[in-house]
Amino acid sequence: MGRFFGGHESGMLFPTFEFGVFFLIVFAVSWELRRTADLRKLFLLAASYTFYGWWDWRFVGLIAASSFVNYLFGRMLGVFEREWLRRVVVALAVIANLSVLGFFKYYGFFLESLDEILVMLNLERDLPFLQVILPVGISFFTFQGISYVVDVYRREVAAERSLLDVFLYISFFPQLVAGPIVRAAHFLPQLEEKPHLTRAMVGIGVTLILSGLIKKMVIANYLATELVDPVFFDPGRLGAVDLLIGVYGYAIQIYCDFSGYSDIAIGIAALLGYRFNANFNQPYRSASFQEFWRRWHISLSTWLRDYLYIPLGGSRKGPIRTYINLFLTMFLGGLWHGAAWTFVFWGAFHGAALGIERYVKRRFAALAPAVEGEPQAVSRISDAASWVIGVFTTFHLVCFAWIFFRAESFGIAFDYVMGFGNWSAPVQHATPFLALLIAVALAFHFTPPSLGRWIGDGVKWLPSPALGPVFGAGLFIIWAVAPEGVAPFIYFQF
Amino acid sequence: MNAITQIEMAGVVEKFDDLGELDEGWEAISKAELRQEEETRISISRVRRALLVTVAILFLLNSAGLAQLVQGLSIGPVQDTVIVMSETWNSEMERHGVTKILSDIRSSVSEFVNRPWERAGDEAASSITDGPIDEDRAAILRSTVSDLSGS
Repeated sequence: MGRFFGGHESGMLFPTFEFGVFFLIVFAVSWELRRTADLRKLFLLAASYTFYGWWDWRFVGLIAASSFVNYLFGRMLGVFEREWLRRVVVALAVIANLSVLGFFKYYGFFLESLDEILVMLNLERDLPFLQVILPVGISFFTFQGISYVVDVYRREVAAERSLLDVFLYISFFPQLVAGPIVRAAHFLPQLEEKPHLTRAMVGIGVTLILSGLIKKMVIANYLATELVDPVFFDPGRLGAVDLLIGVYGYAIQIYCDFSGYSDIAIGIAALLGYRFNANFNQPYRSASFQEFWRRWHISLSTWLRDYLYIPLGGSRKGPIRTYINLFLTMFLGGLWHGAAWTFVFWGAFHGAALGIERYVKRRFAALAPAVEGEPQAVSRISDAASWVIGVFTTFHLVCFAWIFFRAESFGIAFDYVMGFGNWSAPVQHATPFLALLIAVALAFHFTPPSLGRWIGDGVKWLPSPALGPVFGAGLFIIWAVAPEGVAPFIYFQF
Repeated sequence: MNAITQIEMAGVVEKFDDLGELDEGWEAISKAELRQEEETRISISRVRRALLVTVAILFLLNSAGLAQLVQGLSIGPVQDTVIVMSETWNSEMERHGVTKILSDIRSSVSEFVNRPWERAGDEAASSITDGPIDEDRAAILRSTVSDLSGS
């Protein structure tokens, strides 16, 4: 894939020359049209469809159809007053959305699994296998569609009368192919307002674009090409040191890849006058799985909480149902990531871990209730110690689950885990540079949470003549330091 | 765009698109909104200038990339002219040593990326001893590292 002044390839990834030109045009024209709201939205919609069509024009019709169907369901919910009728409509809307997602994403997986079961039972059949191409970002725009219809059903957002607004909400290009999953209740009101670009939005936009590019192009790409891809290709022939550094590397790679994309998306939206919520918040500083899911892929975890966990009953139906609901939510969250049993295992592992953690915490609280009047120094030391242990344990368990998430198959994941017993094999892939990259990226998780905002404030107050050189030099240095080529973002496949 | 006249009245500004057409309609805009509009206008100009400077910096420092990019263009009189201009631009940048910045950064990074544990260890040891490292110490260090690698 070409980068700034690099080569050319289909698909418009953020760190490419094509996207650079595209964004210059979109920025200039959209702000010229700011006084005519509908024309601006129409232009942004056309730009979003062009962006999406750059991958595959055939799927532009799919996203348009999905938007139209959700618009119709929304209008019906806006008109109908009877509760049972509204419930039927929202159920139909969710089924329609999930059917599209299910067909494109899970049809092959379902038939392959069924075929394997039939072979095991000696009941082989000719199944209607199809070569289904997965449309880029289908999971994200489907979830946004569901979010819109359910929010209208819950009366958290009014049924949108403007077809254009619904189309733009579902296809707005910064978050279209890999999130963050934007809520209708958060984005649609912004489309009603006159767009504004403040100094603060410029500061945060420029900062996020540069930080996202560093994360993706430098950290994630080096770790992917120099460490993670070779280590996960054949882990059976490697020793424990390579495997350990390899899984740490993958933990950092997937974080930098995905949060880098989110940062760029949020930054681009800010420069176009729209606000998205943060999608990551230093996830590897979490001292528990519960905290991890409050910091990792926040837009997905809150989506799963609001549209799956809570409708299942959440924690309102007793402890056993709570554990089941937690497990089911994470299990389905794992399946959402991809049609493979390794993803199912990853989701189930997180679901089980959340359940066990909840149980253990409750048992501890019951067995050893907080002692009043405990000396402050003792309390602080014990809090600090439990935090350190919590962070260390959570990080390593999350890394263990990443092995299954990244491995092509259970066989490879099994080889990977078994390789931790071999500490005598020579180190082949872990170099000082890669170890340093991992250490620095992990260290950033323990910097003040407001660091990004402080940098954004610094950029915000940069004098105008300095902003261009800072942004230009930043892009040039990132480009010069990054390895050749740009790997696609990991979350595009989901 | 017609001239805009603004009349401030108790926190509200009445804006008339044209004083000669008062009956055609008017709109009331709050001061806050006017300030927001002004900030938006300034911010857009600021980002636009910044993006232009960015493009100029990339053209200047990465002329080789530009020349490489245009090689992918199809054949035609305009495309041929663009290719010739890009190559001429790149040659000029090379002649003035501007392209050296990129190649220097890349070679330094490449050297750092490919540095093995042995060399990293040597450098760490030499910085501790504050002088040239002797062979014995280097050997000890290497053997420590090779223990790790099992070789």
